[in-house]
Amino acid sequence: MGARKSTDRSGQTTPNAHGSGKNSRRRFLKAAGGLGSAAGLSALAGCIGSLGSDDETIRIGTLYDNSGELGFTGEGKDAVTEMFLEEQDYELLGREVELISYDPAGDNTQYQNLTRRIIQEDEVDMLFGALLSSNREAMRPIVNENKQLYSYNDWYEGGVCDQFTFINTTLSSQQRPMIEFMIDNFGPDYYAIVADYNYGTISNQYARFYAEEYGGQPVGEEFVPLGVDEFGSTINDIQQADPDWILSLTIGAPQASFFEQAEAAGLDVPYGSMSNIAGTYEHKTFEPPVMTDTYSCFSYFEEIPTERNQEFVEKFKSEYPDFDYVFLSIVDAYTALQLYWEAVELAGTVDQEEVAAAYESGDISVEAPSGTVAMDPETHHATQDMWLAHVDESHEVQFLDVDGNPTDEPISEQVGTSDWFASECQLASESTWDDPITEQYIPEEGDLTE
Amino acid sequence: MSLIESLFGFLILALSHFGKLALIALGLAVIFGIMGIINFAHGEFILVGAYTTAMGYHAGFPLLLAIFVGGLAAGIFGLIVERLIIQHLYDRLIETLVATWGVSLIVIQLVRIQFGGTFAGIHTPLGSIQYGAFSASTYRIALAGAAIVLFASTYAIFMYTRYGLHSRAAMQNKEMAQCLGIPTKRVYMKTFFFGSVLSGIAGGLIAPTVSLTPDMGTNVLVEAFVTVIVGGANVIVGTSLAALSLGIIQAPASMLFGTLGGYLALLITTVLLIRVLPEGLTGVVE
Repeated sequence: MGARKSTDRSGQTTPNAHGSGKNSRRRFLKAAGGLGSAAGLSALAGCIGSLGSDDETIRIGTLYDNSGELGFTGEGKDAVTEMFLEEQDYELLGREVELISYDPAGDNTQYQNLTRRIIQEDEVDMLFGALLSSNREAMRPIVNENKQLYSYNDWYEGGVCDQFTFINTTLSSQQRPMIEFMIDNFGPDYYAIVADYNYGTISNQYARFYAEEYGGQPVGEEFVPLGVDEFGSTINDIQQADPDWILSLTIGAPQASFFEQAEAAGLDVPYGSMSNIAGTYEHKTFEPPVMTDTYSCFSYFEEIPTERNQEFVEKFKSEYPDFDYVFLSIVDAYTALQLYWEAVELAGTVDQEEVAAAYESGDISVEAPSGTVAMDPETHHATQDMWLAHVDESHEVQFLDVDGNPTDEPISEQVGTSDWFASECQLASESTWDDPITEQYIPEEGDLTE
Repeated sequence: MSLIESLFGFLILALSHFGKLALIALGLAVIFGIMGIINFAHGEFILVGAYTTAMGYHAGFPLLLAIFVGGLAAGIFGLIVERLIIQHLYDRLIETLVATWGVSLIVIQLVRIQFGGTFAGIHTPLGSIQYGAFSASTYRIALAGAAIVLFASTYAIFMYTRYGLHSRAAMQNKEMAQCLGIPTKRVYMKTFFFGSVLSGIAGGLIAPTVSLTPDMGTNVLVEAFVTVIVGGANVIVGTSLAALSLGIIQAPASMLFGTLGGYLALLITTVLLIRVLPEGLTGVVE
């Protein structure tokens, strides 16, 4: 067990032979499956993606970076995919499951080439992939053109409304319990430090909207270019604005220097974070007490005290000891597989149109490591529990309820998308497989309040 | 914000900008000034210094000793690069540029594969100083002092040692120096080592203030180059004056227009300065 992926780091084109001792049997079945689909192809030329007789292998594809800047994140997602498939004994509906993985290495052109390849040549039944929104937007036109069932499962600002895309991760709008908590417990005035690109600025719009709803407002906002690691003047500006708390939307390790510099400058203001701890575990990479009094709200943290989660964490870490912290991206990839499994079992087939209908049935709900995760039929986004993590002086995490008391429960259960997005995006009622909606909605100034 | 507080804030910001710019530019200035090599891997020497310092620190060394080890590690790394690559490319400006860029890419990838996206940092020492309703990191101000010490030591080495004499001779007229029996190749090797040590020490010194990532070198490279270009050919006077004036310009701009404004002011000043003073501040001084 624990055999690492065999995806070729440099060539990025070797399909994954999924480790372990069952290889020879699987290789045989894969060959048989190959023959099957070749026969199918000649009979049904042009009808890609849904050629399936019942004894045929089910093919699952992943496109996660295994090298480049986010290589470690993608390795985690592929590792947990392997772990999930081993738990299922590489079987679904009593049929063999084959995993096909490529490494797009963070390059959007590679993402496009490999998306084409994995859909058209490997003919996957389900495609999981993309880390950044830019990767996803590079893939989506090809996914849509080929009517390919697709899962995106890494945290983003929200807004994709697409017939073929199913999304489970923390959305910026789902972090609203944190905004409410900070305003109630620390005060209405906050200072926002925002990574200056799509994710940061759009998330900041959501934050401002919810802050207004809960009676707060920004007393200062600084938009910081990605890669900036110098915050002397920002800290000065914060001290001048004298906020009750700081909203953190910093992205990437350079911007995280802010916390170290704020600590060194003696800045003692609590952080309400929409971008730290769960995904990038600053409480593990910085020495205490730099992250003290960070309040971070996400659907998953490694520290979630449920038995289900602790077993999951223990198992993953023992099989993949390279990972010191089980971060959000890993668990979202796992949950995406759980949701797919449930949808296929409900549909009784891997026919993509029928699985999509199952996803939209309203009956898809799984017990993920983070808690109950359900698929919302209209928006194709996950409805899930949100946890509020508090980082203390020794960088330990406790979970809090709305009053700030320690708890073993999420701060808010079954949180859906924003009302605005739910009213814009109605896939189940307005979109069909043959006449699909494939949009991304970005809130304009004022949209959210209507 | 009262006038006194603003003045204090400005002074502290200007000092910390000066300190950082001066530190990260010095090694680059030495190698460029003496050898005429544009070292695109400069940022990675800073990276090697910073990572080694962090490793030493986490292994229990006192910070100053860890920084010293970081400088030494960068020096040894520089020596290897010089022996394997640079020495074959002397007097070939474009080739060294491409070769050092290649070294930079290789180091970044190796660090990423070996250590992942981030590396456990060092806690900023020395606490903070308070002025009115404001406070700032003492260490950032100490960095300016460290920069002055490093510049003074570099000056002393160039003025009062045999190596310094040889290197100045090689810089002024390489052929004549060779005729007089100065082993210029050896001088170049020593200079590359010396410049690398300076970069490594700079990396160690700034390590407690930033996140340690494989591309931290790329992030500082632009600022280092800008400082060296504004400074011009005179390694000590030009570079330190450049760091000082850029720091004095960057500080109020970032106070008024935010971090991005500060960077823009830095770059716009550079563009204007090299238009007006093609030889950099060195031209004015001389």
